[in-house]
Amino acid sequence: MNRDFDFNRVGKRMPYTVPEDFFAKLEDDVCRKVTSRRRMSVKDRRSFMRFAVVTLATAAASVILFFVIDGTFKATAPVEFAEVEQAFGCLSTEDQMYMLSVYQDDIFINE
Amino acid sequence: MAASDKDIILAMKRHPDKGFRLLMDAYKEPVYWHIRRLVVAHADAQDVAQETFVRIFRSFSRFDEGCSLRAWIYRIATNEALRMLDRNGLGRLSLDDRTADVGCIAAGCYVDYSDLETVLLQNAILSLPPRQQIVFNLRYYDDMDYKEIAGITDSTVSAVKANYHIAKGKIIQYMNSHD
Repeated sequence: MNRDFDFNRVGKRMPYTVPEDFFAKLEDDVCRKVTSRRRMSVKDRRSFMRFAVVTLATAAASVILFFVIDGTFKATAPVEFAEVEQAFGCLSTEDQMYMLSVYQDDIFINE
Repeated sequence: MAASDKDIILAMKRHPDKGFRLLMDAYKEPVYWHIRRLVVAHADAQDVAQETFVRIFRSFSRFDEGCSLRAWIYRIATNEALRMLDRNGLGRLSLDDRTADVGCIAAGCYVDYSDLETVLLQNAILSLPPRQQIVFNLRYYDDMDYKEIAGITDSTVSAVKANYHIAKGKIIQYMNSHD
C-alpha cells in the first residue's frame, strides 16, 4: 500500500548549507554598506551646504554690488542749479540763444 | 537571546546603528533561509539578503508601527528575491504567476545532496507556483499564522489557507511519486 509522505520524517531539515562564519560576515558586510552610504549622504549634505553657502554669498555680493553701483549713479545725478548756470554762462551768446530756442518749449524741462 | 520586535523598533528610532545591529541579530538567519529557499543558489541568496537589509535600513522611516515588523521585513525580502529571479531571466515572476518557473536544485555549492529526502522536498516546493511556494515556506518553516502571511503576500486569510493546502497536497503527491 502506498502511504502518504510524512512531513515529520523531514521536519525542517534542508539540504542547503552556508560557508563557515557566513552570518557574521553577512552582518559585517551589510553594516559596512549601510555605514558607507550614510557617510556618503553626510558627505553629500556637506557638499550641498558648501554649494548653498557659496551661492548665497554670491547672491548677497551681487545685491550689495547692485546697490553700490546704483548708489554711485544716484550720487552723480543731483547737480546743483548754480553749476548749470555757471556752465551756461561760459557759453558764447550764440550758443546760449540756440540752447534757449531749443529747450524753451520742452514740456519736460518746463514742467 | 534575540531582542523583541518592540525593542528593535525603539532602538532603531533612538540609535539607528545600534538598533540595526539588534535587527540583524534577530533576522539575518531566518531572512537568509527564507530567501535561500526561493532563489536556491547561495551566492544569489547572499546578494538578495544584503540588498534586503540595506533596503530595510534605508526605508525604516516608512515602517508603519501598527504593522508587524517581521511581516514588513519578510515582505521586503520576498520582493527582493522575486526581483532577483526576474533579473536572472527566469521570466516575469510575480506572486500571481500560476506556473512554476523556478525549477529545481541544480548542482552547485553549499547543497548537501547526501540527504536525499530533503533535496526531494525542496524540489517539490520549487515545482510550485511562486505564491504557493512562499505561502508554504512561511507556514512550514517560519511557523507564521495565516494572517501574517496574508500581510506579506498582499492577500486574504482565506486565499492563503487555500494556497497552503493546495501546496501541501501537491508536495505530498510529488513526494509519493518520487518515493
